Amino acid sequence: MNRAKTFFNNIGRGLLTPEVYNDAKLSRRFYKYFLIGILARLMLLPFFFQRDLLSTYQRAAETVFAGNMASDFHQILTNIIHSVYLYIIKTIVPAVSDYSSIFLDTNTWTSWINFISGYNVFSVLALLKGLYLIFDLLCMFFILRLSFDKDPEGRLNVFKYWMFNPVVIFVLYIFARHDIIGVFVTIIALLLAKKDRKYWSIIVLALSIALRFFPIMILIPLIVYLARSKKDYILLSVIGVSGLAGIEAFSNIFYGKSVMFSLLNTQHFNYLISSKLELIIHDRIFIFIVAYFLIVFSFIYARNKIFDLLINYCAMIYLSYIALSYFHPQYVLWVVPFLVIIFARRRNLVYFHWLQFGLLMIILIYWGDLVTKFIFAPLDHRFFIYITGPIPIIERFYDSAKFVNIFRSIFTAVSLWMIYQIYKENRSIIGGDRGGGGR
Amino acid sequence: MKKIFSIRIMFTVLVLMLFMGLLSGCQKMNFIPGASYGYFIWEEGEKIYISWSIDRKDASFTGSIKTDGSIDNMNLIAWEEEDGTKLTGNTLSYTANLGVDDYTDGLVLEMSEYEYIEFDLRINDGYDLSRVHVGAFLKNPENSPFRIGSRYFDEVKSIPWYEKNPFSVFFYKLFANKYFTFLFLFIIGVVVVEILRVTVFSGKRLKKLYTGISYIILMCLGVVLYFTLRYFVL
Repeated sequence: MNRAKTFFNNIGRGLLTPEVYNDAKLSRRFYKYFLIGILARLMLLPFFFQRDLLSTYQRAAETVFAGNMASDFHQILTNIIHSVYLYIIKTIVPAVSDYSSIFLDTNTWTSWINFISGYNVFSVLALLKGLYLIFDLLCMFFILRLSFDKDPEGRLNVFKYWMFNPVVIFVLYIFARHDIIGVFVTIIALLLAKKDRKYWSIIVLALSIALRFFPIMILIPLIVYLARSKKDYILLSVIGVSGLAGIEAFSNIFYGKSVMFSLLNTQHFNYLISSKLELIIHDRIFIFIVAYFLIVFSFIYARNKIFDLLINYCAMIYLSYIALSYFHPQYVLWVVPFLVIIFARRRNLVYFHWLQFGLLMIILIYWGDLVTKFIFAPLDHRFFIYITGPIPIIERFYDSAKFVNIFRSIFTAVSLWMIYQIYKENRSIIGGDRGGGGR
Repeated sequence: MKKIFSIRIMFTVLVLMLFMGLLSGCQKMNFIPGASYGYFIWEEGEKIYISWSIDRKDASFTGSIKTDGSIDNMNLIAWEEEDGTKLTGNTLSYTANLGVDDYTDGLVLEMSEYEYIEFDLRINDGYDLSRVHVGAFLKNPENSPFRIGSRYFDEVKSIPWYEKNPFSVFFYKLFANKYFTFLFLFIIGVVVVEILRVTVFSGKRLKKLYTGISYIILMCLGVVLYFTLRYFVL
């Protein structure tokens, strides 16, 4: 009995961190937040999804049921993770195999209709989204280790802000997108950086970049934070891009084509350079790239590059991305791990984040039925296909593009204001010093 | 603090009730002229309303309405000069176009001594039966032309909310996959009881008793829910 108690105590300490676990009041609050957060997640798990979830698993099914390893050429690692997970759940729950014909149906409309109209849709959906719940659980236990080492109350607040974060809940349990996998690996990379495992940190970040390309935005700040010498800069940079190089080499050897050039020519890369100042003839300035390097230079010239400062700069980078570039709703998830830590220090920013979320809900209207009414289609597909969508209703009274873009502009203003607030906080973190030398 | 919690609960319940009311179309047929797409037919008083709308695109709505009784009176709603009707005996034919600035057209008919009304409703010279809502949203005919009896609208009105979309399909799916549904609800229930245990019951002297009672209530709720779903679906 005592052994079992010690065993569970050790697990508790491991999950919650000893500081939180040993304080009865804090551990009870932790448990309360955990339960309420899990309840919100579970309630949404079987009922909603965006069509892209089915596409992701259709590519995985190509690998699992048809043996096609090149089904998701652009996201090889993500596809492998989904394929392994699909293989496991189809082995445990045979009902999933009944959906193989739907997964392998290449017609996007009929496969979607057949999927949502099936009466097992809730259980299959809960299983498919279960992968994201696993990574969400991992994130919530690792993220509280990123900051507030001597402040268990602060750690608990980080946990709270993650558990009740509207973007996390929306992206994973309503929208059902897989960005959380990359986010989790990025958190691990940051945790290693905090522990001063510089090479491991960059290796894991390289893996994260190979999973989803967004972590590349924090590669330079992370190298700047970790490097102690010129040799470090060279080595860490080489390792940092090795994830991409590895994927490129793999795609060339196994598929005979370049994933990098293919990606550079996709619309997704163009999102980064979507906002621009037209000068003359061919000359234009890409606004996000300008903002990005200004933030990076600011970090390079900051004194006392403590870990919290790195977190702030990462938040500023991702906030500037969603403020200045075209993005999909799930990309907002990338800023959340950094923001929840900042919220624990600057509570007033939470309100701006909720405002961001509210505005995001309006902005996504413009992506049409697929991301609005069709998300609810598993409940009753005919009802949500034939009910009038938000765009025609807005169009009835006002130009829908203008309407949405007014809110998009407010979203940008809120995000830029948050960047400013975080930048102001940087000064207090680095002791009022601005500029100066390196570490 | 408790007051704020109660207000929040009341607000949530109110929003849910409004949402359910909107979804089930508990009032008369709802459509938004210039945004909704299709035919909408309903009865109000002794009059039968036939309206059509499209999301501000050019479209032609043509067809005929026939009855074995008599058409005593007819009113046109939002009719333009180029739109037309022709009454031949007991058959009314119509041609009406909608466009960017023409959101909706409609007819109001007063009929008597009829056993049936036959509708032949076309959009752009074709049939789109999923867009023809008769008496309630998604009460679509199976064929065209189609007939409705003199008591049709009363029958539609008497359909309970749980047999209307989207609730009917939602409950059907929940019941059809009952092993998952009840496992899922049980897990949700356990989480709720745990939340109560660490919040509401934590300061109480008989917290173990309250927790035990909560689990018994959870079990009972499961049984009640099973029979409720069964009643809704079967």
